Amino acid sequence: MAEELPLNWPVEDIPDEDYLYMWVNSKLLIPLQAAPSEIPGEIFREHEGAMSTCWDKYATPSDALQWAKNPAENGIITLNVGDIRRIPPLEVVYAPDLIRRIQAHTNVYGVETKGKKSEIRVKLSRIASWKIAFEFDKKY
Amino acid sequence: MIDVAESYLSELLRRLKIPPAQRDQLLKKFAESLELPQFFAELDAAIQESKTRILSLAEDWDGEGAKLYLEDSWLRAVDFLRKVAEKLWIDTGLQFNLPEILPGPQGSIDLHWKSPKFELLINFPEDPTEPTDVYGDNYEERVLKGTFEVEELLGVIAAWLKNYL
Repeated sequence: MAEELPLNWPVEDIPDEDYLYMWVNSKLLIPLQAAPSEIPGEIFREHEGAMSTCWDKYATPSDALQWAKNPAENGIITLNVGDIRRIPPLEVVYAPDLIRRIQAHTNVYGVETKGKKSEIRVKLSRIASWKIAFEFDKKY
Repeated sequence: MIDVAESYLSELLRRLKIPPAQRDQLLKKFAESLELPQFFAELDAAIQESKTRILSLAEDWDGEGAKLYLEDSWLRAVDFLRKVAEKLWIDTGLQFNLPEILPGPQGSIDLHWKSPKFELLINFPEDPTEPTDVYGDNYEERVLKGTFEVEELLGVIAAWLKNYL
């Protein structure tokens, strides 16, 4: 029997104590730093008006990595939802992706706010940490 | 900027009617005193490496629809970087740690300094009519933030970096 696509996943509020996972393309990391413990602010950017992440209620770091277009070229970082919300004017909104069937999908709005883009990205880099660090010597 | 200083000195010596041979000797001594340290060779190497790395990124390089980067955007960022390096060296004789030159969001270019004493991120938008977006702090109460036209940015950033050289 064919698997049915759910009609929708219910709207949910994400509590502050939960975490988000986000993939990081290796082209944003300078190779000499190889698997850096620090996370550069440059990785935080919007696509079509929001920064895409995955809610840890419905995903593991490995799940999030597999949803990247090319998993071998990415690593995964994690951020606490409450910490994100404490950076004005960022908003965290649960937004399951019905087309790609990613129940965990969550949008962070406001990352490229005019006049605050650099401030927001520096502050996000300070609250983020690696879950699956990208290894530059990995062959792919 | 160093070329400008040399041409001003040359003109000054001419107006003072210093004989040509003596003028040339003074200019030569002046140039030697301004001998650029190894830092500027390292800066140029970092700039060239960033050109290859950033301008070779193709459309959709991140798999999520990212734009490619225009050479003009990159040039505005690295021209600024060279100017602030020269200004600081002429004003103070000091050099800063090289920042990272990185592909920013939406075709912009980032200059990013991070040290135990401070962090500073300057974003140069792809659209040259838009101002730069700056954030820096010393991890405590000292903060620099806002948008600046490129013309005013040099003085602002040089003054900030002087605190941490």
